[in-house]
Amino acid sequence: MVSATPKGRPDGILERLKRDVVLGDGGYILELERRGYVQAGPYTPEVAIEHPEALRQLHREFRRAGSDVLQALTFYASRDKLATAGYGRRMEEINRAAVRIAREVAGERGLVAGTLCVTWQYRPGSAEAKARVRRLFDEQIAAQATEGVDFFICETLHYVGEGAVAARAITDAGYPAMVTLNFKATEKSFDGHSPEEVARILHGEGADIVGANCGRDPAHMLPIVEKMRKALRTGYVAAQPVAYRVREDIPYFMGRPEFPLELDPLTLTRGEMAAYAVRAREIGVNLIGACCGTVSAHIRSMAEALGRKPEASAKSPRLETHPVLGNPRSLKGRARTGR
Amino acid sequence: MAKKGILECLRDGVVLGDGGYVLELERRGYVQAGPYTPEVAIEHPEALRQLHREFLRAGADVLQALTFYATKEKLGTAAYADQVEAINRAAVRIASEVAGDEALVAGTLSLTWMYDPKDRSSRDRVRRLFDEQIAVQASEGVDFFICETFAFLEEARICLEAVKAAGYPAMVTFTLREAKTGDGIPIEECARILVDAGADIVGANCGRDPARMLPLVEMIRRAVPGHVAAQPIAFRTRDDLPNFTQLPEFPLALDPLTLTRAEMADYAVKARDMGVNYIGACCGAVAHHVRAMAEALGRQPPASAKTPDLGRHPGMQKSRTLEEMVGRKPKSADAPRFGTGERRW
Repeated sequence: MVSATPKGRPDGILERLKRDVVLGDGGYILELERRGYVQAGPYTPEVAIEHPEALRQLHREFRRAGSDVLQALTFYASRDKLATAGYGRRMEEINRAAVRIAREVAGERGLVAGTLCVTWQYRPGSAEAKARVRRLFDEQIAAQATEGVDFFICETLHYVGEGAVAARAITDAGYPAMVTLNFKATEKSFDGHSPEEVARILHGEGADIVGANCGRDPAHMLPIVEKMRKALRTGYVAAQPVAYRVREDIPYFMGRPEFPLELDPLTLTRGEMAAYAVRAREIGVNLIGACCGTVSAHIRSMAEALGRKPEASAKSPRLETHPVLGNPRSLKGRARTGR
Repeated sequence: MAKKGILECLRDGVVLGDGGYVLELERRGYVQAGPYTPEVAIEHPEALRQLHREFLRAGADVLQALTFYATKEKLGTAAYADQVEAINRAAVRIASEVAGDEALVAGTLSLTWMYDPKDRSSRDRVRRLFDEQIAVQASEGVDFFICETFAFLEEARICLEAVKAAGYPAMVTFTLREAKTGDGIPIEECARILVDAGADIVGANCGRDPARMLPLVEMIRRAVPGHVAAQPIAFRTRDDLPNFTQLPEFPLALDPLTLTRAEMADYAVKARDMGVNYIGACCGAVAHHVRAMAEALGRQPPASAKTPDLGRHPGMQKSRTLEEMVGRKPKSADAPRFGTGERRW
């Protein structure tokens, strides 16, 4: 069950990575929760079938801000995870709708990444759990492939073992694979591997791109990704940090007492995310993306910091025209008020 | 029209307003920081429509047409001066389409930056700008007008007179740096003057966070018998710099100052308890804030279908397998209590 699009695509993810840095998109789940369409707790993506226009609009914002890749919102869309929110039977429908919407918005030029993520069903050392995880991935891959994806991202994993299952499932289906881990309290996977080991193991299992996503902010993720970069001679490295500030003692945002309903004051500014993009390029990160908390204003700043001028740059700040901050005489020399 | 008008709604109870459009659409890439003009209404109507939908779904009783700064001269600073009519028309049409029979649509007028207390001729110019906007917005069908973000009593009065001349209910709100207007009138007196001149709702909007706006609104509440409105921002301001445009973080580094949904819910309750009739919000306030406000006021808007149920978060429920979560009722007893800061996971 493999779509004809990806393998035949003349300018796929690997060609683009070979040429240049690829800019990812921001976070969908928390932003759509903020907009009222995703439920905090389950964080499942039924918005794809319940309110496709809301998801479509968020994709548009990222594309317009300069994202080269749109990730289909199929995070937590495995049958078992959807079941916790009462959507288990709609697994195929949700996976297909999410890819279709991303595909429509990406158009001819944009890449669409099918998305897989932690299933919460993996148990180290359990062959039964491994088989179950593989079945969950396979049915998501099949549904998403029907609608045409360019490659797959399997993300937010805790165990390298689960990542290996994902890398195999994706490459067996014939797609380029990106696999990223969510590093929490320590720089080790839950099965005890260092960033260097994670990178080598996953690349060895067939992942074309390896890296880290979610959990940590740029400052606490880049050191991990830098170790991965140094550990690999071939293969690409990805970073998709959150745009929420974490702390040295609790370096992942799920660990913060503010998670998940009081994160607003921890949000990083566009200036901070732009600095992250530049730093990531310097250390050799190939796919520079972002995760929870990152919206269009951040992505545009990242794109501009990387020397690009996306469509949304037409509305980049021009503060000299602000009636309070700018030239007080700017409005045809009339009096300014309020200060 | 089966819809009740704004005055009837206010007589029946508190009216819940919506959140902020301009800064949120800037965050989404459709409004330019600096001019902050609303050409998104004609350039990317789908983006504006979506934001209106979010507020409606979150429980807003009123959708404000995004015609803030849509006067000829202000649009001129962003090279849209010849699109005044198109922008005003499109903005009201989009708000009306989304509102349907579910919400009221407020036409919006705002400070023009053309009023000059030292130049009497500026009054006529300002009046013409308002008349022009009112005519276009009225032709698309609005339920009432909100005249907002004023600094000068005189400019607000001109705006009010224009709305009343057109025969609409009027809400007039000020953005205050202190407890008096830009022309030095104490806000209580300002409120009385506007009510005497026919304002149906008076109050404050933008600039200040709830903590620094409510004391001023309370002064207005004590001064006038009619309806009072509050539309604070959802960014934290300071006692020494109560207006967010004074903050060094304004406007591109405001993110860390954003108020949480619980803080906005708390504001809604306080506002109701002090007798505010129109409880809305401004810059920085988005759907999750408005939903939390609605729920704090005892409502269950459509977006409550997706109100947090943290008992089903796998990372927070380490002992529970996915299978054990299946079929759990939403809003379970072990979900955290909302707005109290209490956490049980």
